[in-house]
Order: sequence, then C-alpha cells, then structure tokens
Amino acid sequence: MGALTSNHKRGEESLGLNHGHVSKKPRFSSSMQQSPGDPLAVLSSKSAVARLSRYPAAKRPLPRIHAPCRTVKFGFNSSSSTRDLGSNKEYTTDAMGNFLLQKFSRAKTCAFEACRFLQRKDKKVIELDTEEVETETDRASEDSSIEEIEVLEEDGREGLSVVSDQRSREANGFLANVEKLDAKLLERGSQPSSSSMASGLTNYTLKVESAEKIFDSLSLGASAYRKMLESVERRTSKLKQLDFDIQLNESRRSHFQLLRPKKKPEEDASREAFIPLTEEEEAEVERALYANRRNVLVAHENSNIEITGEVLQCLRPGAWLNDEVINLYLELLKEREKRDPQKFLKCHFFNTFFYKKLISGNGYDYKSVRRWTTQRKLGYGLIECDKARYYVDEVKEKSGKDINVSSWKQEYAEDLPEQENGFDCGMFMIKYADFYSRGLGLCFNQEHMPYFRLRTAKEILRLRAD
Amino acid sequence: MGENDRENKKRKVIDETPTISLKVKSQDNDERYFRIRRDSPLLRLMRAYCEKKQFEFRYIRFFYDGQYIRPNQTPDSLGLEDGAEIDALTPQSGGGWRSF
Repeated sequence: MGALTSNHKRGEESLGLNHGHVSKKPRFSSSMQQSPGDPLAVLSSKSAVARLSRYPAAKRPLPRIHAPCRTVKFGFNSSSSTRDLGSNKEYTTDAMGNFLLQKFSRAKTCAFEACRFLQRKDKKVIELDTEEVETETDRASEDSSIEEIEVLEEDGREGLSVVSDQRSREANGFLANVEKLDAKLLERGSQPSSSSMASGLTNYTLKVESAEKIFDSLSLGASAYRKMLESVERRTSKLKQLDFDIQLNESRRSHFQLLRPKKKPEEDASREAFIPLTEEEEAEVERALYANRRNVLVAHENSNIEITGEVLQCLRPGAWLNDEVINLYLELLKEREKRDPQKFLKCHFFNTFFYKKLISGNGYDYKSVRRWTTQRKLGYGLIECDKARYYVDEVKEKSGKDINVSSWKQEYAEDLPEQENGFDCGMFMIKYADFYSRGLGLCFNQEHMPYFRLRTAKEILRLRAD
Repeated sequence: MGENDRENKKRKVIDETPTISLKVKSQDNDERYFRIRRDSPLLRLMRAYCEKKQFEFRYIRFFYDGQYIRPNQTPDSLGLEDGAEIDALTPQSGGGWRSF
C-alpha cells in the first residue's frame, strides 16, 4: 500500500506538470460530460470511472513526447516513465518516433519555436486548473494505476474531435492517409492551442494496437518530415541571404585591409626593435666597452658629445647610464626620425638637463630654457612635433600663436615596464623614448635590458640608431 | 699663463681685441662672469670656473643653450655672443633603485 501511495504521489506530481501542459482539455471534456448529465455526478466519488474520465487529461501530454520531442526540455520524460505499463509502451513508440525524427530534430527546433512559445502560454493557463485536478486525484487515490490506463482510453474517445474521428478511422482501417495526417499536423502547427486535442488523439491510437502505434508514429514521422522539409526550405532562403551577406562582408573586409596596409609596418617596427646583434657587432661592442678609458671612441658633431671609453663603460651590465650616453642616444633618435620621417613619429626629446634648468629658478622658469629650442638650433620648431605648460609658452614665443591645450589629452603610460634592479633605469628611460618615437607600445621588460645595452652601445658607436 | 689670462679677464680690457664676456651660471643660480678671447678654446674658461668654485673639472658639464660644450671649442665656433650665458651643471646618471 505504501508503495502504491508513493506511486500515486508521483503520479500527482506528474499530473500537476502534465496538466500544465495540456490545454483546455479538462474543461472541454467536462463540459461535454456536463451537458448531458449532472455536473455534480462527475465530481462525486461514487463512480471512479467518471472521476477518472476527467482525471486522465493529465495523461495526455505523454504522447506528445514522441511527436516533436520538445517535451523533453520540460523534463516530463522522467515522470512519464515512472508511470506504469501504458507509459512504458508509449516509451517504446516514443523511441520509434524519435528515431525517425532525430535527423530533423535541429531544423525542427527552429520551426517549432513559435509553437513552443504558444504552448508555454497554454501551460500557464492550465496551471490555474491544476488545483482542481489535484483534488480529483485525491479522491481517486484509492484507484489503482491500471485503472487509470483504461480511463485514459476512454478519455481518448471522449475527447475526440472531428480530427480525432478521422484519426480513429484511419487507425481502424490501417489507411495510410498521410495527407490527412499532414493536414492535422499543419493544424497543430498553426494552432498550437489545439495541440492538446491532437495529443489526446495520439494517446488514444497508441493504446489500440502496437502495430498501429508503430504505423501511427511512422506516419507522424513522415508528416513531421514534410513539415521539417518545409521549414528547412523556408530557412534555405534565409541561409542564402546569410551566405550572400557573409560574402559581401568578407569582400568589404579585404577591401578595407587593402586600404590600410599600416599594420604590417607596425609589426616590422616591433620586430626591428629587437633585432639581435650580429657576432661582429657584438665583438665590436665588447671591445669598445672594455677599451682604454681615455680614448675618444666617437664624437657627435651636432651635439658636441664625445664618447670616450670611460663614458661608454656605463653601458656595461650593471652600470648606471651617464647623461652623455643618454643625450647622445636621444640625438640619434632625432636623427633617425629625420632620416626616415615616414617610419617614425616626429618627436622632440629634451635634453636630460632641460628639466633641471627649467625648474632651476623659482619653480617654473621659462626664460632659462627659452633659448634651448630655437629654430636655428634645432632646425625645426616644436609646433611641428606630433607629441605642458612649457609647450604653450614655447609656441607663443616662437610662433606668436596662443594655442589652446585644454583639448589635449594627457597621456599616461599603461603597463609601464619597470626595472627590477638598481641600475637599469636609464636604459628603461631611453627605451621608452625609443619605443614612443617608433609609435609602439612599451613591449619590453627587464629581460631585454642586457640586449638593449649592447644595442645602444652599438648604435652609439655607429652614431646611428636603427 | 693661466694667471695671465685671468688677469686679462679681470682687467676688462676695452679695446679692439676680439674678446667676449660670458656669464657662467651654476645649478644653484650662482653667476660668474668671464672674459675670453673669441678664438681661445673654452677649456680655459672651464678650468678657471672650476678652480674658482672648487669643483673637479671632470664632474662639471658646460652647456650653451642646452648644447654640450667641448673643451676645444671656441666662442667663435659656438657662435657665442657677448653676454652669453653658459650653464655649469653636474653630470647626471640614470640608475637608482626602483622607488616603492
């Protein structure tokens, strides 16, 4: 008994759910019954059949599982399988139907989107009725589950509409009238609200005969197949459209890429920033770094900087960089830009002493550096530069224009690489300048410093930055 | 010889000799005035300045309008004008610990 009750409870649960699924069926059937007789008689516990005739509406959704197999999403499968003998049978037919339908399941889901939506609506509507049904089931708690099956059949008959009549005739005569089925299915598709009736139908037919069941599912499968085909055909046009769109966009993309081939040089530039030194160059640098301290290794005419062995030694690993090396390197960067203006940004690098001088008076002292950036000396005006209060004064003085810098945005370095030791800050500084004038991000870190030292030494010895 | 030069500067000889008076400004805004012949290397001025200020010569950098001055350059080669200002700054070096 305990087992039974538990079973029944489960049935209740599934009932609630299923009722959610079945549309106005219960109302429909009850109205049919009520019209001939007393409505109270239906509710009275006297005739279990009568009660159950209303109850089985809950069962109806089960067959629906085997049609568009959407119900799986709502998790009704488990409840139905725990049901009883009848449901087991249905399960096998489900498998059959699903087997045929599986191929088209994907297309189906799309095609039935609208239907599902409507069914959900149905579900909501019916949930209001669930309470009523539950009370009924409570009364029917003494009934065995087997009885329920019988009632199901009855219900199937009771709930027959015009369509179901047709259907039953088909089942009896084994007429493979696919067209009719199609029509029904179409009806179903177009009027999802009436789907419950159709499902009741299928439920009924399933109970009649196993062969019939198979046939039914097959025919259903065939009709479903047709439906699928239709939906697929509908989609093909869409797909064609999409294909066309894709082609169009790709051609556009390639066109745009042709229009701006800037990316490549950037990659090249970033590669150029890390070109390893040749063996000869390394040997040369090595010799210079450990050369006689007094010898003047190179002299840069424009900046009047002479690099002696002693000065260059600051490029040895672990040494602090010296102002002459830094300023010379900045000069070389400027020359590099002049040599290849296409490749590098027009930058002015102030001398390392500039800031010292600028703030040497009382805070900000423009006058002290006024003469540092004359056109004659630099060969260019700062206003021509691509990249500041200083700047305003500078421009005002040199070109007589008062420029508005409020619209300028301050640039902050992001992901600034930082030194991890106590001696590479100078190296980092000149590399910041180097990468900025290349228009690159600061894509280097502490690991590159030994290489940058050698490279800087080489570039200074050659008096040419690359 | 050096003494002689200094005397020359001090004397402020106003004659046709092509001399030039220069102002040397240190980092702490201390100003010194020198007179030097247009064609004599600025090494003389540098040494004189360091001597006066008691700096060690190799630890002072001289600049004219932001340009390094090499000891063998002359006022003429630099295009210095009368009263031009020369900066005497201490060398800079880039190293130091990362500050946290």
